[in-house]
Amino acid sequence: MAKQIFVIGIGGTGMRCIESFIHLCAIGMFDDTDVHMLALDTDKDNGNFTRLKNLKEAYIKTKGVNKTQFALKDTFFSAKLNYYQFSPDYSNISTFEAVYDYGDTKYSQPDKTAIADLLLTDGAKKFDLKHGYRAQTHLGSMLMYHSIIDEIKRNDRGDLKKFIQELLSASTGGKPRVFILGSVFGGTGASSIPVIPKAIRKAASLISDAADIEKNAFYGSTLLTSYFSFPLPNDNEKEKQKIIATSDRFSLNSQAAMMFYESDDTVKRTYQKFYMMGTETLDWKPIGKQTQTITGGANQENDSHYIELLAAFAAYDFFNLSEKELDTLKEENKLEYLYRTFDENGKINFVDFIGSEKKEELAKKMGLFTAMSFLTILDKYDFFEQAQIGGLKKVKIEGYEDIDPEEVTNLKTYMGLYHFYFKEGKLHDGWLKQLYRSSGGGDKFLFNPALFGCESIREYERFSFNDLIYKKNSDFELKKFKTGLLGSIYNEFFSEFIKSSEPTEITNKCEKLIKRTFDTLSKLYNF
Amino acid sequence: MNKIENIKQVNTLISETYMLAIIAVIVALVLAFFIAKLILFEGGKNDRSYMKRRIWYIIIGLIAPVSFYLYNMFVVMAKIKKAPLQAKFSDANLYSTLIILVVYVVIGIITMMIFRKSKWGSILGKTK
Repeated sequence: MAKQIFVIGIGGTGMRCIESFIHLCAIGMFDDTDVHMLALDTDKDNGNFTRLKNLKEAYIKTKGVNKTQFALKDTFFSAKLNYYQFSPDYSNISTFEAVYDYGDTKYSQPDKTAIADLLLTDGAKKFDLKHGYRAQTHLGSMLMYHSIIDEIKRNDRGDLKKFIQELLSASTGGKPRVFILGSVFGGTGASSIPVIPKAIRKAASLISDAADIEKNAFYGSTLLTSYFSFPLPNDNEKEKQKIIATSDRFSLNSQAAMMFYESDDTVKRTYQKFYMMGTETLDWKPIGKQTQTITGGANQENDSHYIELLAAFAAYDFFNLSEKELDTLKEENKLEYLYRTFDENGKINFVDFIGSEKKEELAKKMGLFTAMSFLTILDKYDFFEQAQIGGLKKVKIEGYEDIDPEEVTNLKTYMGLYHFYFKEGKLHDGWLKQLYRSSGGGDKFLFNPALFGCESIREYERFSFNDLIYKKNSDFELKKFKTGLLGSIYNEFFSEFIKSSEPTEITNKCEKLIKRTFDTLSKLYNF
Repeated sequence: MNKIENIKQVNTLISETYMLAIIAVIVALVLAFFIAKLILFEGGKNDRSYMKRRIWYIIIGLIAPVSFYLYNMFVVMAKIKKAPLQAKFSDANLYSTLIILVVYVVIGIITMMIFRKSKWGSILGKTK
């Protein structure tokens, strides 16, 4: 039976960390695994939330449209993704005052509002909650906790209930692992990380008392400190919004949060592992040209950053720990704080994300997935579409014309979001290139810098991905193949593909084709 | 080549012609196979590389027998002076040319079916 793991992404940063996590699933880092993934954000119209939904949709439909899906092994898209999302509904009642009927309560039962008056400024009571908790973590923790409980009580068919039911089932039979991805310098993530395990425990008890989740489940989380900045609001914006999270306070927020996580007993009793990470400076601008403060909504769509991939690898590490280690930590009520730094020269290599034992696995899977992106996206190759329309029948490779065209479309969409895509005649950078930019460019990020040098469709078509994926003078320099004087990349690929065998253990034709492509590329690149 | 003046010489010439026909068909098949291998698989939705290989197969399949026939007709037959001997050789020329054509097509198709998952086999086109 496939391994069950539970991931919760909270807030805007959490959404982007989940994106990176999904990409890890896509390249095949979570073989034989059923991933239950909960996206939690107050701002359901947030650009990053929308991008995440598009990505997970493309992933799930690539694995199969209207078909039962299975976790696989040694292929791309191997993990089975089960996606859930929850956003507290602040569309009609969108301020603290409205949620808690503050106005009437203040006059009828002033003792109940006294603590709110003590802890919350007027601005905090009145700002629009639709775009998140805006670094008001004291408010956010309370609101998020109660939103979760209310949702379980009110909505029998909601995603949140389904997620917790899955966690309950996993807790009945075993010791599930829950990993939380979010930041500690902003609003929603910082508010929710301390209270999520308690909220889940309470919510689960409302559903069933069959299992004690807090007793059986292991919890880990990222403590992702500030890594970006954005323009400070002007006076008009401050006046209009009342409360705005400003990036000049991110470092202070992070510092305060880290002190909290170091000392709070509740958090220490609940979690077993914390992964601390951040960047040295806040120089990175998440949105290319941003001239005004964006509090949330569709316009808040931050580019991806390599630190989010590191967060995803923190989750990977947590899920691959031995149960004995986690059992020991839990029994002794210990919480382990981990951190990772990058080389002082600023270069980011595979070993920095996953350690020396598995760096080849990561290099292989990410490199081959990138190679496959060329074969999928570019009309020059368009391999999967060719297979789907029966093009492979010329060499008597049959059966792939049965692939649902929607699966191929979604595979192309996914690859575009991963690497690059064209929209309305314009080239857009996918996740990989955004990560490259966030690292500072040059030869600083994982692959050969030539991989990131294409600026037009023509350049992508002419790019020699047969031998320019891995860096020269790296451990993976020899992972490439030649095309010969009169040859071509596609000719080499397809000639090798014809020789490969059809996997028998996979039923879905699209997944068969993906697996066969994976095997072919593995052979070509000498893995 | 010496002049052909008697039936014995014509019969020897005819035997040699049949042997040359076999060699010609082997050379034609090898050449067609080699050209098929040189033509690269093409990516994209409309990979027409199999059509290119087919066209070359047909071109070689026409050039080989036609040039063999014409060579025998104008070069070899010029050595035969007597009309009845020419007629006898002419028949042999025709039959050996047909042999080239038939063997080229039959062996070609059989080998294409055996090596179906290859560039050579792709000449047959899409399976139904």
